[in-house]
Amino acid sequence: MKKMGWIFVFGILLFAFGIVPQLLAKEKEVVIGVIGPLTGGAAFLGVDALNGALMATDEINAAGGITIAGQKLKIRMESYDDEATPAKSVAGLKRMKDRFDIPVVIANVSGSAIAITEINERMGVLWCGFARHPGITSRGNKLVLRMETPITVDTDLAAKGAVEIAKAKTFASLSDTGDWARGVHDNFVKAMESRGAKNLGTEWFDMRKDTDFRVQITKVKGLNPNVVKVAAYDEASGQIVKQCREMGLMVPLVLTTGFQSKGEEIAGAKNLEGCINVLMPGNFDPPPIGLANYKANYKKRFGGETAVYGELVYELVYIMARGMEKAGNVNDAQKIKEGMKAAVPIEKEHRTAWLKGWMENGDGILWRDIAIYKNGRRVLRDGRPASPQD
Amino acid sequence: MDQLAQQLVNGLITGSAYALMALGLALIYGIMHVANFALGGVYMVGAFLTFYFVSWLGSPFYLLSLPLVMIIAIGLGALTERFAFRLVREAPHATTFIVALGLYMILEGGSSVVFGHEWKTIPSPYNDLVFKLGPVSVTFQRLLIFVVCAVLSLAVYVGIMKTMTGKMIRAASQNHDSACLIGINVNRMCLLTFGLGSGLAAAAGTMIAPTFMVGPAMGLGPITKAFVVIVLGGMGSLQGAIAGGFILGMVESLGAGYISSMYKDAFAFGILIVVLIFKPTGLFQR
Repeated sequence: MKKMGWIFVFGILLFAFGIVPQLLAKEKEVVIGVIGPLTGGAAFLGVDALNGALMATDEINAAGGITIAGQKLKIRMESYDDEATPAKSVAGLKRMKDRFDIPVVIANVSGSAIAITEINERMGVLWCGFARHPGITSRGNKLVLRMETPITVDTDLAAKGAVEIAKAKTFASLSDTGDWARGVHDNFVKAMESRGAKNLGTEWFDMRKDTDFRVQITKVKGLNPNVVKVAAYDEASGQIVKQCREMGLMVPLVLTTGFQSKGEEIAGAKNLEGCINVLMPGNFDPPPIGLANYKANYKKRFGGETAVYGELVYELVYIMARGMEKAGNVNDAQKIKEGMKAAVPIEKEHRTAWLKGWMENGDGILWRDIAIYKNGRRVLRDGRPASPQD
Repeated sequence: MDQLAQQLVNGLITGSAYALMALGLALIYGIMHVANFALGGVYMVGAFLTFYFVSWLGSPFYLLSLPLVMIIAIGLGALTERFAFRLVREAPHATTFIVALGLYMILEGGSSVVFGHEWKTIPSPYNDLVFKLGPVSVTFQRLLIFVVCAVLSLAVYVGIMKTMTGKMIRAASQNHDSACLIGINVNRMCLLTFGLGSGLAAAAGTMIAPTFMVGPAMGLGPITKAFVVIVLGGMGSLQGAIAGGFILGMVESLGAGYISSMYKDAFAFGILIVVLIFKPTGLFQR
């Protein structure tokens, strides 16, 4: 009897301190889930993306939050470290839905996004993110909005650059074995072969574990290609560029949108000269006002340089906030999605990715062009830096 | 032929990195019979300390960071022996392994908090110097790994086999009670062994980290490979650790180079299985 009494008291306390605050909070805030790698080899991507989300959230809340049916609501970002492991991403989504009833989840790693978009529709959660795998939007899922162009747009541009600028008739590839990189690799091969270039072969690695790529580079060098495609994220790509040049592989390297400022720093301007990549709004010079403010504020708050991941998520959160206001709803994922589509383009002060709109299947429409590297910077093929007027 | 020469050099350099990492592990296991998984964390701490020393002193003083980092790591190793491993000295091997694993996790988690999650690069001046000998290219940094591995291996061998302190360490490892009876301070010998092993692991971190990046999770891969190396070479054998490292490096390089790069790790563990089937004690252990 005494034991039952203690259990009852404990239960009341648990309710009071566990559930009641959440219920109360639910009335004043909307919780958005951010699932991504915050530790491990891909942490640079997850941390930068989360930072972008937090910056946007804090700014929106500081300006009073969002207004839904006359009521002010704050946004709260709830993060979950999935270590870029799909099984953990799904567990994270389920946990966030159970605990916070999130209407939207932001997840940016392709493998994680593919796994999440297997179940998000039946859970009534809108997936948003910049994950590039074509499979995310090609399975008929109605609750997806990709804050990026599909991989095919960039790989086609990269292939165009390889053939038209580097005059490549043969190519080889160095690719990570993860979902995103495989998607980039496979689509690049298709795009190159459609332009008459011959595929000499691919060497694989696991960028989550490998840091020494010399064995693979030696093999690729032996194939004697005109260009080499490097399909990996930021830091791994930077290491590969550096090691390629150390090993005497001097042909133009065709890089990816995953190759950002950290990778460029590691690779070094000299090693990047003549390499090919895709130009994005983050490469505009001078940067547009939204991007300039974001970069300055990011540096003040987090102390480092921003990468494209945070830029994409920052604008995404603003679009989400504006979309919720347009929809007049913070719970119905489908209504939020329609509201977000109607909210684009947002005010230029917060445009860091320059999303133009969304296609019917949820793929984003963003500005893109072919870039070459000159003096460590990505410029248009005629040598000019890109600007918003281009 | 050009490719073969380059892959052989690749294997040699990779092997020297593995051997350097395995040396500390082999020393501690050979003397104390403790599989000190925490050396993966010490390796990572050594790399971080090198990063901060180079940031503070400047990249021309990179090599000066090696003895400084080793001294700090020796202290760290001694602390782990005194406050963790000594308490479980008489416990079963599984207990000491779990303690080692726990220490590794503490070091990794603690580094995330203290140093942050972001990967860092060490600007060694030797990374940009590339030697080309015919078709073979190698950076001076990687050659340094080979040289440091050779020097430290020799120093450890001479220290353990030819000095009085080394004799005392070996006596303590053979039988604690008998060593005590003849006046050897067993606790001090254990402290010294753990310290030296940790110093070697930190040296591996200092030398290897400039070839890629420094982050809290960087220790797991190398310590796993180091275990493979010492099992391959013979648990506790210093010569085995060196030979095992080079064998593993060569097998990975030639296997990935001539069969498939996708199965690089499979070659490493495959050779281990083959050796253990035919020589369960390892290549150099009787």
